Amino acid sequence: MIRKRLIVLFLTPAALLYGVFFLLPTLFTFYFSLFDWSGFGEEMTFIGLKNYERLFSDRVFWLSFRNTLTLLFVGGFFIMGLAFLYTILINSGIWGKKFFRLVFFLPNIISVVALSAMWAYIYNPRYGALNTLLKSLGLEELGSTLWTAPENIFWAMLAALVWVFTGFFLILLMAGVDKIPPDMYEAADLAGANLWQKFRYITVPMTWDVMTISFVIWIINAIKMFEFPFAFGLLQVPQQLYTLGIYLYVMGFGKREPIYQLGYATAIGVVMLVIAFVMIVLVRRLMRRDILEY
Amino acid sequence: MSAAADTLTTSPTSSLRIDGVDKHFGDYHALCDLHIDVADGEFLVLVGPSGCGKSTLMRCIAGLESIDSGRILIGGQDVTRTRPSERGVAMVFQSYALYPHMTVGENIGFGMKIAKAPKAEIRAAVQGAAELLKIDHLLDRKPKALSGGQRQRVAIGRAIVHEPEIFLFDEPLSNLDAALRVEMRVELARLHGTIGNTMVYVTHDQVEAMTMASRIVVMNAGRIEQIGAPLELFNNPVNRFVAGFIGQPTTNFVSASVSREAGRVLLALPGGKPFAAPVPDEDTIAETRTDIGVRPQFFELAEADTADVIVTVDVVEQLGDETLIYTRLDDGQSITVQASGQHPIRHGDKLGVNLLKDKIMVFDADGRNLCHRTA
Amino acid sequence: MGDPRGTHPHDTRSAPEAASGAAPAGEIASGARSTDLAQTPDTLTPDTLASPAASGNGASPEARGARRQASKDGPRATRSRLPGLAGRIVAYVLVWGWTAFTIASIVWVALSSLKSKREVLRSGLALPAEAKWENYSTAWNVGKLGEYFPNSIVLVVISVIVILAVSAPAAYVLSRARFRGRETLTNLFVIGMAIPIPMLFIPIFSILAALRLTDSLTGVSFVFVAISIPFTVYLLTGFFASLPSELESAAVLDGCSDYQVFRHVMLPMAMPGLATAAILNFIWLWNEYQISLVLLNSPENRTLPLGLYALQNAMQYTNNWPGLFAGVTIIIVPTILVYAVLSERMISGMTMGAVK
Repeated sequence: MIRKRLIVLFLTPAALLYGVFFLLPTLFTFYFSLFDWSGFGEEMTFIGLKNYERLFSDRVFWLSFRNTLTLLFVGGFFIMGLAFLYTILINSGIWGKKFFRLVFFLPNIISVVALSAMWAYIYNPRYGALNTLLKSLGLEELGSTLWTAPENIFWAMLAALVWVFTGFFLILLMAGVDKIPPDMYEAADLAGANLWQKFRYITVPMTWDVMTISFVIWIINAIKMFEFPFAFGLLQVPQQLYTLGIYLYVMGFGKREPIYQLGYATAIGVVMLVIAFVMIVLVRRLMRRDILEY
Repeated sequence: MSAAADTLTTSPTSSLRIDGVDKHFGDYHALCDLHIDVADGEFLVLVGPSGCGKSTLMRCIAGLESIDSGRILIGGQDVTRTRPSERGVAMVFQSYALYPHMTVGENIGFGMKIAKAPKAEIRAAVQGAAELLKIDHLLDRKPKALSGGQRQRVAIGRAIVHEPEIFLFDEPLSNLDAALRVEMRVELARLHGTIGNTMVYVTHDQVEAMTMASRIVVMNAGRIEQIGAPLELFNNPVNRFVAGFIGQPTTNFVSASVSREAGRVLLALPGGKPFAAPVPDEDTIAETRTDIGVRPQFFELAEADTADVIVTVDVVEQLGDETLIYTRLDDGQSITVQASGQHPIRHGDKLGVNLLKDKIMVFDADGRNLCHRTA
Repeated sequence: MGDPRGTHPHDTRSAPEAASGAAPAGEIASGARSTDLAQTPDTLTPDTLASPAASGNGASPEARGARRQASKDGPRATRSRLPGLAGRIVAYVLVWGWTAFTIASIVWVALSSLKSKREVLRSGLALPAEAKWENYSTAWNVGKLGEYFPNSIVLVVISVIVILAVSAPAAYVLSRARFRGRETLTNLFVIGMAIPIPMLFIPIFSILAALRLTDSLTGVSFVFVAISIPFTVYLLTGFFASLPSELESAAVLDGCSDYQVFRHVMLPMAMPGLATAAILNFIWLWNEYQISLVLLNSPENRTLPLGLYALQNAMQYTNNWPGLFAGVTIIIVPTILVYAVLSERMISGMTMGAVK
């Protein structure tokens, strides 16, 4: 009962900034995607859904799409798997839990550009750390691989990406696992459960909510993935590294010839949003379940 | 017209007056046409089960909630539209609501600071309240460094500094452990004696109500069941609800058979001797069966052959100074008997009990106490 | 080397079967080892783990560590228990492996920044022969990071301040006031977290162009604030909602107006949340480079990440790895400092909304 004009006053600045610089652009995206637009200051020609038709037969688009999905599923698989594995390992009573948690999260606070510089060096075929190590172990042939060659670069980038994001999701999962009352594990011990059973019947159900949120966050991040692969590709990002986000940028700002394709680029953006939306709804539906009270 | 008769005449200088107050939350009727008159210096306790509206009523008195109709008068002034801080009330909350980022001294003086009182005045008032409550050595501490009892004193200090007409207490003892609760109960009673303001106190614990109140307001589902002094409510409840709410252990409610012989109405418990119904107007009793209420304290142990009724013992609790006997009648209805002293009774024993006839309550179909004596 | 499978934590599912004698022939190796494991106490409570018996002698570092852990977190703090010494060694190896890699790469980058160009190419994994601090001055001056640093500082600090100034009141109202459409409005704010930023590159650019704010730090600041609002509001509404409403009532009774309740009572209590939001936003915006990439052109407006990006591209031709690493170190030092001091708060703030 105790609110009044304060509400409007308190909400307006945020709403204004958010509306103008975030929501409005979102709406514009849908609008722009219906046009053929060759650059700022140029004329926009309405072409309806033609951009989307073009996308359909665009080889590069499908490549980006495939890359994004690979990132989402393959990357997601490894990230979640490793995050879970390490959550269990770190939580198994070894000393230094907080320290490990800190270090795992560390890559997430370091600038992507810095990280890619680091990995560029690691992957350098001649004097990079990886090949040097492999060669010193006697694996000459493996140690001469051109990790950053077009056919390998996507997977090289993916490995680095997994390294970064595992830490992030480790934090989330650990927080969820921490909330599980130890009594449950002790009761399971008394009933004679082994490690796998405890994991399957206690840990997994009790962290279901955290898992759902993690999946959603990962989906969003995977679909909008831009910074990491872009930095990895340096000056001229090879097409093998294209994600939807990068392709959008390239179409909108990157290519100078024949002309900018702003309408086309925003169409890609719309596709991104739709995919994200569909996947999130799917995941939430699949993972839906009554809230556990404990 | 409310079912409860106000036992005090309306005084022109009544400290607090609830006049036809009504409140809805959407479709939910929280307070139904309440009338209460509180004399100056009274300790009024609002008691009732969860959801009965007592906290809502208190918040309305404080001005934290608005009312849909009726008036609230404090010290003779109509404060229905007045802001909470100008009504002359101060409130102590269940969880004390101390500002955790301020020291004790700042907490107590906060209201005065907002009112832009001069610093010297604030300091003096804070010091005075702190000394009264014996917390003056804690003025620089933060709430998290205090014990529960100390925190409550700070909350009271904050209220005192307002110099209100009325103190409102919203279940202040619920968060304390049992031992501390008893101690604080006595303290609050002492405080009332010292400063003498009118105090309105909300609790769901009828023991607190009985021990602290000058008058009790029993509420149920937004209505007032009865207002009266504690013993009045104990001895002369107006209906089944009040009879069941007040008193520990709870009143026994049993179904008794009704018979009419030779112009007299007789009641009988299953397997027991008939006795005269102690009601003023015998016509009000139902035809064949009626509910009666007997407090556990108002039984007497008797010999089997002379007893009013024989019961089978279920569970016995030996408390040293008294014995609680949980028994069953022939038809399965349970009766709790409280006998003073120690008795060697065991599960399965057959026990004879007498009822103290003048303490029996007879209820009609609506739950009204037919033995209720109006003043 | 022996069969590592048998000691893998997840393989203990074979322990009960082995114990009941049902181990298949092929599993003899792991089965035998599992039987050993099965002989450890059936109920592996923290006490049995921490006791000398479980690990052979009390002097082993694991036992000491377990006891220390057990006493630090309380006797019931350990979660899923690994069977015995072998499992714990595996755990340590795996975890330390990852951790060591992470720490090593960062330390090594910092160290490499002090080498000469040739050193980096020749002896990549060795320590620098002599510390070439001039790499830093090169990065700072020639690489212009010295110009970009103040850009980043000013941009990020101001943006974070604005974000908080704008989001805190909004979050307060969204979480504690009662008005129609509150639910919808909150959702509207929060849904921004799901929108892919690249999608907005072009419209944002055109809006800024219309406002004549392209290629300006001011324009970027507006965008920074806007894209940080969803998460910040989400975080802060959680914080504000958790504040007890009795405090509001007490403040009202003390005579506070709505604004005074916010300023004197609610806002101070939400300080932990504000601090968390400040730290997280600082780190993300400090490292942000996709929006900056799109919106900033002229070199004098560049932020550190962009500067580093330019440096990295330049490095392609000059092979000046040490210089690049010096730049990397410059850019990551502030964030690591902030992280080292405030990591607990960051992590707990992040997980607060996710884990109820």
